[in-house]
Amino acid sequence: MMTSKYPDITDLLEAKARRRRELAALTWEEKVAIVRQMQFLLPKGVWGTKPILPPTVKTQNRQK
Amino acid sequence: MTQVAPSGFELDAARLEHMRTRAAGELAVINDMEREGTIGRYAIGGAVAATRYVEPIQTYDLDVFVMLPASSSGLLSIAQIYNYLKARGYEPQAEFMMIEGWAVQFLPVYNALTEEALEQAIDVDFGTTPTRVFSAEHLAAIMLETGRAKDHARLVQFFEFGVLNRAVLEELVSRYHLEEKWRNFKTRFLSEKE
Repeated sequence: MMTSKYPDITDLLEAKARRRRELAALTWEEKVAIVRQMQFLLPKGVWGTKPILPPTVKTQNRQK
Repeated sequence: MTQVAPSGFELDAARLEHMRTRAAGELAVINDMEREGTIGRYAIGGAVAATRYVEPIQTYDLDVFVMLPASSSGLLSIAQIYNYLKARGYEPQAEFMMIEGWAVQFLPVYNALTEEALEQAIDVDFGTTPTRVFSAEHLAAIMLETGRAKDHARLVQFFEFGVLNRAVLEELVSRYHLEEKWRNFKTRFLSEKE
């Protein structure tokens, strides 16, 4: 019997789909907070000045 | 306390609350502008509005569609928005105004479809701050009309998550003459034939 040399990623894809559904089901406020979080994680090159970071981020940076 | 969001982002509860608070503060500033007559009716469109209906969408700005009050000359001008905000310490950055740390783009309604989207925008609360967002069907019609790759991708998400009333959308498609774009979208992305 011939087996595929590639791994089965069905579980991974199902987990991704489930995570997307869970994200979509959050409240709008929670989702907007995540959108803003993404701005900090993936800053856009066009920012002349960075968005104001929340205090917890500043504290973490200081500890580095 | 740290919580792990379903996205895999580690969201510190305090940071999450901070971001919610800042967003609410930003909306409160825009509410003040409406109450004081600097802008007419406003509503949130674009990716942040779409995020209300589907999963969070990466975006760098908040699109605020506005009805501009006519000036004494009878002309509509967005300059009064910038003057109002600058007087309160908020600064422009490229085409945006930075309000409470977030880039806000004020967009006057630019055609009949966006004007109707604004008129029929839904009253919602962001926490305890009242605001308005475009309906899912108006957002979908605007995405069809605009027709960029990212608009199509978002529109696919709207179908994927089942948030559209298709009859309402098709009525908008008909009234705003978007039939050809709708046909193309259905064929390409929904695998539907006429």
